[in-house]
Amino acid sequence: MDSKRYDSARIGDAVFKGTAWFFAASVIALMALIFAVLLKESWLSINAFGLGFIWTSTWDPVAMQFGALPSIYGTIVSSAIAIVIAVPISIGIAIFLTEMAPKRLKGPIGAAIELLASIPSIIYGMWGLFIFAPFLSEHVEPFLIDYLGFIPLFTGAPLGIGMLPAGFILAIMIIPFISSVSRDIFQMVPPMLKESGYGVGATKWEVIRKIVLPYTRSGVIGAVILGLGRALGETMAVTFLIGNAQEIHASLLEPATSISATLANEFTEAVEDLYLSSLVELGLILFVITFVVLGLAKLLISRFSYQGGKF
Amino acid sequence: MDTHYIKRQTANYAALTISVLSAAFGIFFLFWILKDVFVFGFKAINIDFFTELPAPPGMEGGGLANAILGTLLITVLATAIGVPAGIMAGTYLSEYGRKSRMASVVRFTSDILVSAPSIVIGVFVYALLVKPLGGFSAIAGAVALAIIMLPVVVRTSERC
Repeated sequence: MDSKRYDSARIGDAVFKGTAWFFAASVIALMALIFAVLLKESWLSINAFGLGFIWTSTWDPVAMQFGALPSIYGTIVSSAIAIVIAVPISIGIAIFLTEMAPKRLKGPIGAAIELLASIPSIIYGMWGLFIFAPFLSEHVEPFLIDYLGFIPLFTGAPLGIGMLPAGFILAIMIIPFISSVSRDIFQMVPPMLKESGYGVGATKWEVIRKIVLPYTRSGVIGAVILGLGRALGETMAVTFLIGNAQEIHASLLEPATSISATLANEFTEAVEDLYLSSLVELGLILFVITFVVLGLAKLLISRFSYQGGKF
Repeated sequence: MDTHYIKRQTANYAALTISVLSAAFGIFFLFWILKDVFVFGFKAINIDFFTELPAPPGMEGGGLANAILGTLLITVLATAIGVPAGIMAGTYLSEYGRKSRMASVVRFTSDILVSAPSIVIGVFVYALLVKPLGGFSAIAGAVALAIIMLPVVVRTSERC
């Protein structure tokens, strides 16, 4: 009797283990399937345009000529703008929350910043288009053009939509991710290390720069890459704000496009097979870009990870 | 003699001021966005908004009952698909796989899937379900959402 019960428990456990294994394996299978399906669907366009697809800048659905360069350029530049704005601000917020804010304010302010992450991206897009873009075009961009117009980055008309507004909204969207991960990591710095810094007379900033930041470097890099990953793939907010023009301009105020914006705008219009296939290839390129960026991040983190005492 | 000390103090105050301004920057945008969403949203909200179908363009009235119901339906379906699968995979990682090669590949894959752009998942499900079946459907939408949820559920359930 007892051994029977034992047997059935063992079988049940084996079944459970098998099911768990199956779902774990399905995660890998899913990844492989995404690659396979995207590759198969974009085969038509890969055959038609070859590798030149990546550096051709014509995107002409009427003439059936497709090149991905404006989209790839827009994706990379808008994400770069977002990172340049978001990283210092996020680290500043994390420092404020861990080292400076009085205990009573830590919770509410941290929660308020995290609330930014829970706003759906479509809200960022609509808010950006209806409120932020008019504000930029009336109050900020004319000023930029007048005073910084000698730099090619700030020429053109003050439209309120374009590369810079899209990058700025992206920055606001990724700030909560980078800052909340950085804050969690900053909190893991052993108090003894910080106290010994204060003990030899270091100022707060010196403790942060020479103890907290080196100790948490790999984690902060990881947080930044996480934000970058989100910025690269963000769709709705960018689509609303970037202007959706298949062009490449030196100026950040001109309308541009990104991979995700092109997909969101044109996917439902694409009736011809080659058009659809080119769009899927764009999606494949975006997937490969995020794959490479995240793979690099994991490599970096494992190389720079903290090894007791050496930093 | 004091210049070194003053320099360090100045750097300290400058850095701390920048930190405070950063926090103010984040909170400022949060309240700006929330304020506008409420100000513009409240004008449109009434009972009809939840119970009526959208009015034809140009007509007064109407609501978004179909969109609200659709959001609920798709979210429930996606949760039903994504959460059990994710919890099982997470259980494998924390209870059986742990340090095996398989487990580290699954972890790596789900970390990358977490950041896979949602539009790429959309294109994938379009090619997999919408094109062959001849039309858009709530099922296709739910499957796409489930794929987006899966890696998050896997990694979170492993950690708990």
